[in-house]
Amino acid sequence: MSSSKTSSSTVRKAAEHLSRADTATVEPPSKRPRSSHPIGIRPLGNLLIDGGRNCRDAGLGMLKPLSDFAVCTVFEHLTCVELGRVARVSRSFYVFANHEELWMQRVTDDFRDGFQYHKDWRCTWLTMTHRKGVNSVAPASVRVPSFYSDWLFQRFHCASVPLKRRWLCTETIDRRDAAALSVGDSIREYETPNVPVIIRGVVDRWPAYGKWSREHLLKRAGHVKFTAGPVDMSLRDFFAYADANEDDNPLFIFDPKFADRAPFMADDYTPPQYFAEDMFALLPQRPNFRWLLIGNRRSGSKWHVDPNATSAWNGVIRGAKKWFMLPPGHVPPGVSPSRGGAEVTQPVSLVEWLLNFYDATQQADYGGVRPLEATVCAGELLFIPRGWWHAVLNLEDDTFAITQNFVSPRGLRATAKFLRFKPEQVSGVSEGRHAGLWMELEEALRTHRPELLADLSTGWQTDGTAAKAESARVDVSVNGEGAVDGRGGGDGGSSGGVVSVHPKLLAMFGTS
Amino acid sequence: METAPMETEQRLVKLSSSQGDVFEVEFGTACYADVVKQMIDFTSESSDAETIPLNLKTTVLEKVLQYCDYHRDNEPKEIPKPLPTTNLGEIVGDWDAAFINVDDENMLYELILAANYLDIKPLLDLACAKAACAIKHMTPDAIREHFNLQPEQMTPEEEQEMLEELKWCTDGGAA
Repeated sequence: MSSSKTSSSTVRKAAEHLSRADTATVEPPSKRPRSSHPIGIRPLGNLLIDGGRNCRDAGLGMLKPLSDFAVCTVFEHLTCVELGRVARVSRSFYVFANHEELWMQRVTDDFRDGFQYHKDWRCTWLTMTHRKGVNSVAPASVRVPSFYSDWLFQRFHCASVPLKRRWLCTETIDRRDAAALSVGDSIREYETPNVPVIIRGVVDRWPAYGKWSREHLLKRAGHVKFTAGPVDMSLRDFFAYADANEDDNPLFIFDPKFADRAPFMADDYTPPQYFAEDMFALLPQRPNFRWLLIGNRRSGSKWHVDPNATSAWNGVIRGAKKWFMLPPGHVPPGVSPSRGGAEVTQPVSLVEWLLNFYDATQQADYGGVRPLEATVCAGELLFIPRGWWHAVLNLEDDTFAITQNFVSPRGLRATAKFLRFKPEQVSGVSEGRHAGLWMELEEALRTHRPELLADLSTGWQTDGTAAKAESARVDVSVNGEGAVDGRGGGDGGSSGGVVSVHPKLLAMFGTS
Repeated sequence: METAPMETEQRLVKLSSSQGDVFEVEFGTACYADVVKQMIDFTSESSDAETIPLNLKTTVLEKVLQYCDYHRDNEPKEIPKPLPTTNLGEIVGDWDAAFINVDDENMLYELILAANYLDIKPLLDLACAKAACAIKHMTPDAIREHFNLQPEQMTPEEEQEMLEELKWCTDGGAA
């Protein structure tokens, strides 16, 4: 049903991704994935086919009953020099001591203020610490025949497996043209029912659109440091890393301070009129609310729900982003939030999730709610409603986006409830402000929007009925097979209860 | 929502080892291991008095329960990686250091396996740190002997290549 509103140019753009994904040359030639593991680790299944011995066990001695994960945990406690020393013990020790994850951890721990990536993480650490023979630093090269391990192979596999056509071809999120969508329409059709929409004709009017290229950003801010995961690194160093790395879950820039660090960036976009109201803007000190996103293909965010029960928009300036989304309370398969929802356990990378769990969601007999999906291309903007689970995969190198979270009057109740009842999970503010953020907001509303505060105080203290409705747990029909129970992970802990389904949401899932 | 605190405090849970020995422990102790909590949630739907079988030897289960009982009210200290010292007491405190200072090295590996199986991350970290302490200052030869390694012989070329590659840490190093 969304296709009726999809413009042909968007379809064409999405189709380009598909045809590219479908060919062997999906990766740019400069970084086409290797076809075999750099030091020869093979998946365990090959042991049966090859019929030989696994040199893992003989080389571990008394440690052999431990899982690969546990052996790596032992090795994590060694310094880099110790890792270098134990690598000579046996082929097994060599394999574990060269595990790139360990070296990545060391680099990002030891060089939080930035580093120049060199060939791989181990070489990067050696180069950054100016070890002897720095000129000859080369990736681990001793081939280890007959070492079989699924766990160690996984990282390489997820980094190099071609993105499958079936992961990229589904488009189930509404697309609307800004010219034909008033603010009132948007509130009525999308924000109030709390469903996502892609809006065209907003981002392509930003100064950034068309202007922001890698060259442009390097010229204006090449030396400026941005936050990429655990480190702050210069844009120049980041691009060098992004082009050279072979990570399964590559670092990407996700920076809440970009407007201070590179003020021109803030001048190059305008928040869309549809989502202009933000109650957090009334606070004397606004929590983190906007982020710059820069990443190469295969980087992206794993499954999560946005902080503080806020909604968000994400405008793609360059490149393309593939989105997977599930409504509030519908935890994706393979993902388990802790009790209370503060932490989320899931596969190491989104590609691993796709490999292991995506297909299950597409089976005819899948019992859960299928994710909504879309490839959001440069010039388009996605509305991410509060409470929705989402995961994002960048599909092109130099994918640039700006995202902003907000609390509109429609979302105020949910956010107020979150701040009041889950203060320990409040994020985006300095230490010590979490517990008091609700009171800060209450005070700001009393001054600036007393009518909203009055509205808020009715209902939620009585019997939680309003809260229950607000938790937006939805029962939706999948393929006309009847209602599916809202599963755990919602924010109220209430189960059961009749929640009406907005026809819009029903229609969207009905077509999947 | 959750069961009332008083009620959970008094509730006892039965856990049995692979050798059939049954331990009756407080609900809070058993639930320190999330995996056990899930098993309890699962079985208690059918019957309240059921014993949860765990695939752990009696001595190992006893040790694990000791850890859970102590740490349910004492949050374990985060262990920095890499270990700054082999004196674990300085890092994790006296109780944990004494707890993990087991006479039999096999018990240490059994504890790693158990922590891995029951997904008790701080115990896994503690036991792995202890194992790492043993390796930290040993030469490759000492490690081979200590862990009773019988690795496949490398060809002289392979050996040479590896030495060349690892030169950076052996020049003036302990090995």
